[in-house]
Amino acid sequence: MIELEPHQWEMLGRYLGAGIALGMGGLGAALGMGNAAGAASNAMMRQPTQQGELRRTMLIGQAITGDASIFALVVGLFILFFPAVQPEEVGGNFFAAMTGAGIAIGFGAFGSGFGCGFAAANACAGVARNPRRAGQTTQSMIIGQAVAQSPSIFALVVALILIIRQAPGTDLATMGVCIGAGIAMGVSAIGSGMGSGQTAGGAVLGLSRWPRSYGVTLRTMLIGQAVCETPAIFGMLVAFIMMFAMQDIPEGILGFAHMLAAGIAVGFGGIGPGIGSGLTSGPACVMAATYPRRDTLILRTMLIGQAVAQSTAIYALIIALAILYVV
Amino acid sequence: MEHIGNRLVWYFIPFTDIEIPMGGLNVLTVFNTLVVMAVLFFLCRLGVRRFALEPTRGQYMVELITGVFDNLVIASLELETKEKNRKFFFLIASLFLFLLLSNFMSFLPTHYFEEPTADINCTMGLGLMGMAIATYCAIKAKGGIGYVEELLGPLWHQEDATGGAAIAGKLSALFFFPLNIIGEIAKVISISFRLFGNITGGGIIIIVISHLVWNFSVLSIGMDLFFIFFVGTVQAFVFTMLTLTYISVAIK
Repeated sequence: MIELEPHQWEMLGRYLGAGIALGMGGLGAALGMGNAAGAASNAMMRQPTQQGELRRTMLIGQAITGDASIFALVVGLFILFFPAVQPEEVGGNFFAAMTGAGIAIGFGAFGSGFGCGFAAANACAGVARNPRRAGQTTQSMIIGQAVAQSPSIFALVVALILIIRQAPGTDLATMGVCIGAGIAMGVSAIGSGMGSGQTAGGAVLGLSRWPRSYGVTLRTMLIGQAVCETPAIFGMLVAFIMMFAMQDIPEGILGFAHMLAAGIAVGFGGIGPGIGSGLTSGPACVMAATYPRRDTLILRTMLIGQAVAQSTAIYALIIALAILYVV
Repeated sequence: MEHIGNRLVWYFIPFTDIEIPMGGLNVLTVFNTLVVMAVLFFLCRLGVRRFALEPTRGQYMVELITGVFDNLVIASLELETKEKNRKFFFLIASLFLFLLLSNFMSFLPTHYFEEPTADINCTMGLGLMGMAIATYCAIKAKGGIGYVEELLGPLWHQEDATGGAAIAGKLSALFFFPLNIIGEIAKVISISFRLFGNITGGGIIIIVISHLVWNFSVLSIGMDLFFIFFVGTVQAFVFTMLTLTYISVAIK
């Protein structure tokens, strides 16, 4: 085990955590914003007279896309400046708490930021296609993006709990809990954020073509996004179990490995199902806008497809719970 | 900031030494749930006090809300008679109104009024209720054997399979049955944790950002409007619609 002074542990944790938080969090939002800007440029080429409207839509969309990275900024500031509870006793646990919080919010904000970019890009394309309904397109984009922020909100909750519940001293099992919870929450939120964003993008695209089916499309979108967020919810569940409900963690490197393995299982297992559910519900929203009278059939087909796509997230959850409780 | 996520729990009956069974009572959650129910009852009573052909404002509001949910239930369940749909309409409309008022509750700037939905016990209870109703409806619609056969997977019931294929189909139930059972449990977990996470997360974001800007109140009010009213409405709707969809999938 590495022997370090308390202030060295503290600096190591703060710098690493804040770096991961802002680095990954900024990456997603930047990709999303670039996506929106590219779509807006394309749209301006098609409709040069609508430049003002397009610029407005692009800016609103980019502003909301940036929300997730603002959460990352808030947590990053906390990681840098939140006082250590017992400054003399700072050790590996503090380092792990800060790193875990950074991983949670950094990766968690990546998905939401990247996903919201799809909605903003499709809104720009939609305004160019149907400039007279620009208001409604922008409105549906805002609703979809706001719901697509949910995974990053879960990640924010877990990150703040990790920061506030920091423990003194150095203890490998507790370090495993912190880093494992961060990976479980943060990485599983990537897929959910991207999937929710793709769903919102599909709904915006459909509504710009068929503005009359507003209610049906929004309903399909909300349910689709809710199902897309399931992997992030499993990640949050495993993170909560690790932080609050573990009675006897094995001592030393064994406990560290248990916690880390459970976090990796549910975290990385959640990426695919989230994106896959988004690939299901995005076209479903377009179809619901196209054929609003068939919405029940579309909704049911979408839910069955998403349920099958979710099954790998459920396997990951089972493996994580087995690692925590059985092995 | 240190008491984020703590809920007031009574482990003993006040002024006595008698322990409350099952690990205590979340007293504020129970109290606020009762408050929401009372307010809801009072408002609905007020709305329909005098029914008239030409509706008053209150009656119009009640008719608007009930009409929306009546149409939603009919569109997604597609049962034969109006009475059968009406049975589920009561559940769905009251669930939505209950969740809506519960989520709006923390806007009251008073102590002791906090959202019951920020307590996992409340949302988990509602999720279990929805799942129990959906399972009951499935058993009623398909019979006990039909329900179990559905859990045994798509390959269990093959008319044209013979010999090895039929045995393989029956053996696949060993794989599908646990998965379907866990899938049902995962539905409850996801529906209840979604509501809980969104409501709790909104509250924590408001606390943290208010703390960071030294309680500069205009910003806090703006965030209240977003996180309490917008997110609260959306999540109440999502919870209600998911419950309705689970029921409709179970029936068909």
